[in-house]
Amino acid sequence: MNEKILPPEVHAVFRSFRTCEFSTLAKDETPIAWPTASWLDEERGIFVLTTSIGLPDKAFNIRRDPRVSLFFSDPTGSGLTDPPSVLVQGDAEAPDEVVTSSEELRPLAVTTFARQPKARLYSDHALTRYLFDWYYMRLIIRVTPRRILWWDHGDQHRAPHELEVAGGLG
Amino acid sequence: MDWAEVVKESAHFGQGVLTGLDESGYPIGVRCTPTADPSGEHRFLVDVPEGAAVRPGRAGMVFHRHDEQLWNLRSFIARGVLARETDSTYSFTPDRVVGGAGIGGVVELVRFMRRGRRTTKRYLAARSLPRPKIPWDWIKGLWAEVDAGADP
Repeated sequence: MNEKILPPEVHAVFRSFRTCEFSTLAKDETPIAWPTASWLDEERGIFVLTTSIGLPDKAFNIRRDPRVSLFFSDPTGSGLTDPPSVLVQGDAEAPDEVVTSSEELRPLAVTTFARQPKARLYSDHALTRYLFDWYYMRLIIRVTPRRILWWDHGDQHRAPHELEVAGGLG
Repeated sequence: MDWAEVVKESAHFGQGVLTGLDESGYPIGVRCTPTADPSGEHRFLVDVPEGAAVRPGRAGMVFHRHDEQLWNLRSFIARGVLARETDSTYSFTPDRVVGGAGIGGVVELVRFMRRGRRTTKRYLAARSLPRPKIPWDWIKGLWAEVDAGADP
């Protein structure tokens, strides 16, 4: 990751925010956002996200149109005081490969589990395993950033800072 | 959800995130406080700040929240049309609303689970894939890493 150009307060947002609003484009070009956990893979300079094949719309949208954004605007649980809001625009891929265990997803999974301790109930009991096994059949989403915008104090009345990172952060 | 429910539910969140396209054609998010149009039209009025260059057209609005432990999730989204009314005031007219986590209580949770199972079945059938077995031991191992204090 290019730490020289990415300010520490923006990096902290990527590391600490629990979710971002992840937008993909529907068939009619409506940008649709759902709260989603993400992981910044610093070696590759990309964001890794995932969705279940039981909730595949994000992946279908990406396969049709790769333009996406990750908007980090809710600091709840992050422990950060007065962080900026950060928007990452980029191009995504969502290969049609169903995974149930993945080294690529391990950091995102461990981080999410650590931050969401009550989620353990979905994998700890025979009944919830039966009812929700589909949730663990995953598709991997990779986002290569092309532009990062951030607003100090989350104040979008001000002009954002802007960083062109075409080709990713690596 | 009908319009009255949308207004009532959105009021619980206070803020929402408007998602539209900017001049580059990529999605942009705008944190905002939408208010129901007092004229009675089924639309929200939104103050879009200067620093967020969203353009009129197809747009979405997501309302969501979670607690400090990423639990008690609650969310729903609206799809619709964004139009400019004055310099900084836009209207957002939803044409479809989709409930997310925490909306509709246990009944909706059961629907969510059943819908997920059905969609999964269709996804696999369309690709002639067998239903994969979940490696619960691998997942248990991830939880063990968490218990051991893993911090990737």
